[in-house]
Amino acid sequence: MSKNIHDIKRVAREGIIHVLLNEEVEHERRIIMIGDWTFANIQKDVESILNDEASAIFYDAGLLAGKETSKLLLNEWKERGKDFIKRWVRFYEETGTGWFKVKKFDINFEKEEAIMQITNSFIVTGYGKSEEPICHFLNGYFAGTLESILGKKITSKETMCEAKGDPYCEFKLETY
Amino acid sequence: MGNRETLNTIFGPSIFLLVLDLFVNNPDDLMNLREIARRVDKNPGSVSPIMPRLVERDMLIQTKIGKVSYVYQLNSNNEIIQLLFEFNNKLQELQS
Repeated sequence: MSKNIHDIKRVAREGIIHVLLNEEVEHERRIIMIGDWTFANIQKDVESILNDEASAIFYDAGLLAGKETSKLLLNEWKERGKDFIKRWVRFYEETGTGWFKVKKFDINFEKEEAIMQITNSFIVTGYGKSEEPICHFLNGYFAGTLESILGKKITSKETMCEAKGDPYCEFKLETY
Repeated sequence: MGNRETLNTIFGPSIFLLVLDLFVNNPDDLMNLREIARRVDKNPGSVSPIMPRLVERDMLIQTKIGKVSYVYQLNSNNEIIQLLFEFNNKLQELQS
């Protein structure tokens, strides 16, 4: 079987789907599928209890997930630099996980900063309208991803969000 | 003076309380977001959403030092902060 990261293996009668990262069983990861509305409902419930703290929880969860996943992808894919980014974008768009559509992902490798612009964030489509940016998980996820790519501590801020009525979600990433 | 996580330990865990503990333990220190995040061992992106709430509640004083840069300091004149000082002192007496 191909080592392509997009390949999935369904384990019959066990209710399990694995992403195949390579042929060694220990490098497989179980994946699950949930609706964008389910994710949004979880976020709204956490926000109703924890208020502003909720954003930190989702940001931290995204940060960790972004770091871990990007490490796996860097291990699995040969591409580096801009070629890695191109493949990474394809992976998260409709040909891969379908989390969002990338409008712009500019990394300044010298200054170690980046701007990411996306549309169709799964958080926005599930969540609906908001007065504040809501893509906390993706905000952290992009920071974690760039941390793995650059090997530096990265922080991210969502400066525009489709949920607010902005034309796209924008994230500004920089070292700290 | 360091950072005893008194409020966070008793009433938390919470990033809000973690940051408040940091300032109550270091009332004279001026800190920017990165410094705060470093001292509470969090990513600045996790800390930034709670900073406006601490400022709105008049617990911290925010001073603009650049186009988009701010430093924060404890508002020791705030009555709630003064109560927190007393609370910390009494708690120390209780624990000694």
